[in-house]
Amino acid sequence: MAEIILDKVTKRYADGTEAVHEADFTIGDGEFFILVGPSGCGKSTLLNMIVGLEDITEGRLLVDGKEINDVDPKDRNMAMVFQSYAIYPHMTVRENMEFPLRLKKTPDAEVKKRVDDAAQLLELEELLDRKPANLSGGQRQRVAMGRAIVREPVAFLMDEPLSNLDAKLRVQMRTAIAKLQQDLGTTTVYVTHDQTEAMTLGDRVAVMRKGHFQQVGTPRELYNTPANLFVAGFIGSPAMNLLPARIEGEQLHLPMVSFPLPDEVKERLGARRPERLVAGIRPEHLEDASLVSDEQRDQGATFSTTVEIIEWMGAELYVHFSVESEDRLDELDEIAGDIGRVELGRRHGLPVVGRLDAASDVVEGKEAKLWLDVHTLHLFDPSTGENVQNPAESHPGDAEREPGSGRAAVAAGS
Amino acid sequence: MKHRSLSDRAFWGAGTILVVAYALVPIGWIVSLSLKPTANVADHKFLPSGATFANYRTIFKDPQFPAALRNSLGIALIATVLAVALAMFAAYAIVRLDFPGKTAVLSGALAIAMFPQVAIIGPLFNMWRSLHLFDTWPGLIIPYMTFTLPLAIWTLSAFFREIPWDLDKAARVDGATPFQAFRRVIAPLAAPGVFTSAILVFIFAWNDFLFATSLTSTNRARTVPAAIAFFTGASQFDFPTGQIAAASVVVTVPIILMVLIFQRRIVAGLTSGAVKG
Ligand SMILES: Nc1ncnc2c1ncn2[C@@H]1O[C@H](COP(=O)(O)OP(=O)(O)OP(=O)(O)O)[C@@H](O)[C@H]1O
Ligand SMILES: [Mg+2]
Repeated sequence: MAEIILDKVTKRYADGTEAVHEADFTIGDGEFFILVGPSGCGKSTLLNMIVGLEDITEGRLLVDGKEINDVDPKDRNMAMVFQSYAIYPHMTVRENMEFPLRLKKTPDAEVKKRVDDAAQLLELEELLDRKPANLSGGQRQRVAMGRAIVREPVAFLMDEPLSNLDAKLRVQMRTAIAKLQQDLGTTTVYVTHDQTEAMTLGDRVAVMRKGHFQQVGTPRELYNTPANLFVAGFIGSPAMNLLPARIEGEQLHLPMVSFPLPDEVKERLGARRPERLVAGIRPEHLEDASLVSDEQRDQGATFSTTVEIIEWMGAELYVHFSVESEDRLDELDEIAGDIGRVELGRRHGLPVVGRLDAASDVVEGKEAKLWLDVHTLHLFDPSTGENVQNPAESHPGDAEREPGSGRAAVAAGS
Repeated sequence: MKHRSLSDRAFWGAGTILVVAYALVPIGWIVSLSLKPTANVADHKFLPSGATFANYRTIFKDPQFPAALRNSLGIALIATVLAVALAMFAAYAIVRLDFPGKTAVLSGALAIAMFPQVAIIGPLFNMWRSLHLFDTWPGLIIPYMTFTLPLAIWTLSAFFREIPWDLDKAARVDGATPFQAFRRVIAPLAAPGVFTSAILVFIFAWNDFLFATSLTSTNRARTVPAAIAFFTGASQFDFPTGQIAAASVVVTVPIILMVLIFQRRIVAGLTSGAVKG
């Protein structure tokens, strides 16, 4: 159990690639901390620096107050679960799990007890004498977990441990890992490129892009107050709708509707009145206009559009429609590529998704009246990507940790 | 594939018999020769009439042959152990480390393997004499190692390349020193490669005639292939065909044993199950 402090940790590879730029945050004792970001953003590199498999180019890494930059991986007592599992194929499951203990010259009785306990916890008892070649993917994954937990390490480091499993097993193992971490209370750093995993598992999440930290915060903070366009577009499923917007006087113009700037938006904007903006609308902030009360309707903005596709999810409806806009946002192109949402770069027909109540009677191909909750709108500066509404001081960095808040989101997120 | 046509089966059957016969008939011939009494050697019969172990008894009575057998075994085994051990470290470094001149090392090794050995015999003879390596075990072990190391390095690096790097890393994180990670995780997984190259090195050293005749002069270091050439018949008009055949049979046995023992170890797919399947 340990507190891990990253003090401006930077990694530059020999060829000059800056894989991690000034990682600067504290991972609290017992915290479930997630590193998330698109492929190649430096997550594995940071994890490997923490565990000691990669040298730290600049900055300091402290565990429980002691700098460990130059400590050999074998002396860090951290356990790692690899994406490939990396279990030793020439050893049985039992030997695999014993391996770290044997290296530490743990007495036989103790080794047996710990392995048996871990095997019971992970339901591996029947498999202890098998070789890895005869195990399924999920079983191998559990062996890798088992090898990590027998050691009682100061921290678990997991590099996309679930990405090789099929969707169903992934959800199952996700819950299992969350529970295991809660029971053991061991500090955990977990790498994933799947934002759902990040949101459901983490006490806190760090969003990375090209080696830079975009925002560090609880899943709730990331979702409700994304620091910039990248976080806004990356977190959430279905993803936040991003549309070009303009402010003229006190009016905010969106491609499909214009309305007076809501008071709280004005307040947060302060004196700033950037001309061009990107508006971010979460799908759940659109609703069938006929389903909102008159009072509510007056507080939002109502517009008509032609519904292209409806996805009925049982408890809710996803409606897809598109809007035309003269404003082109070149800045979105780059972000679009990064988060795998090419549609953001489209010249015509920007796609929009709304998440309506299942009671809605909108029909595919027909005109529908939709309502937009203008109070929850996010506004971003397209040139910097910053959320212009956020108070200036809440920048990527050490947000106060709210224990347990990540768990609260488990039900909502999955 | 289940119902192969008759002609198909006949073709493969005949082919197999042909190949096996091609390989085994000469061996059978030598065995037969070794069992014939000296008078019958030239009788042109495949099956010896009046088989006798006289030839075997003769060669073991001559002090030359047992000494040569000892030299052969000792020199080949030491050369094998040294070459394979060195090649393991070299191949591991080549596969896992990025150092300048890595390709130069590999192509240099290949060049050595292709170097015509006969070209260095003369200089080597003179050098070994002045270094007092002539007619000693190290005098043969060194050239054998030199010429088999490249092959061993290439074979082993092919095997190391197949072992996921994550396994080294996992072992390091699990608390192993770099050497422990190598010895307890990587080396066992490279075992098929180790045995393959061990067999190759052993056979090279065991069969070598060129170095053995040129760099030895007495029973101190002369190996079996060279010793056979020095066999003399019972009288000076007698060519010792039967004894040469017997000696050949004797030297073939360790090779066969070696291959039989190790081929069971050379099973593919030892690393399966290490990473996602
Ligand atoms: N040894 C290396 N030398 C140079 N550049 C490297 C090296 N290893 C990784 N990189 C680069 O560093 C960046 C970060 O790599 P890293 O493996 O940390 O990404 P990642 O976030 O884990 O991606 P993924 O989700 O695909 O695993 C990438 O751009 C990669 O190309
Ligand atoms: Mg990675």
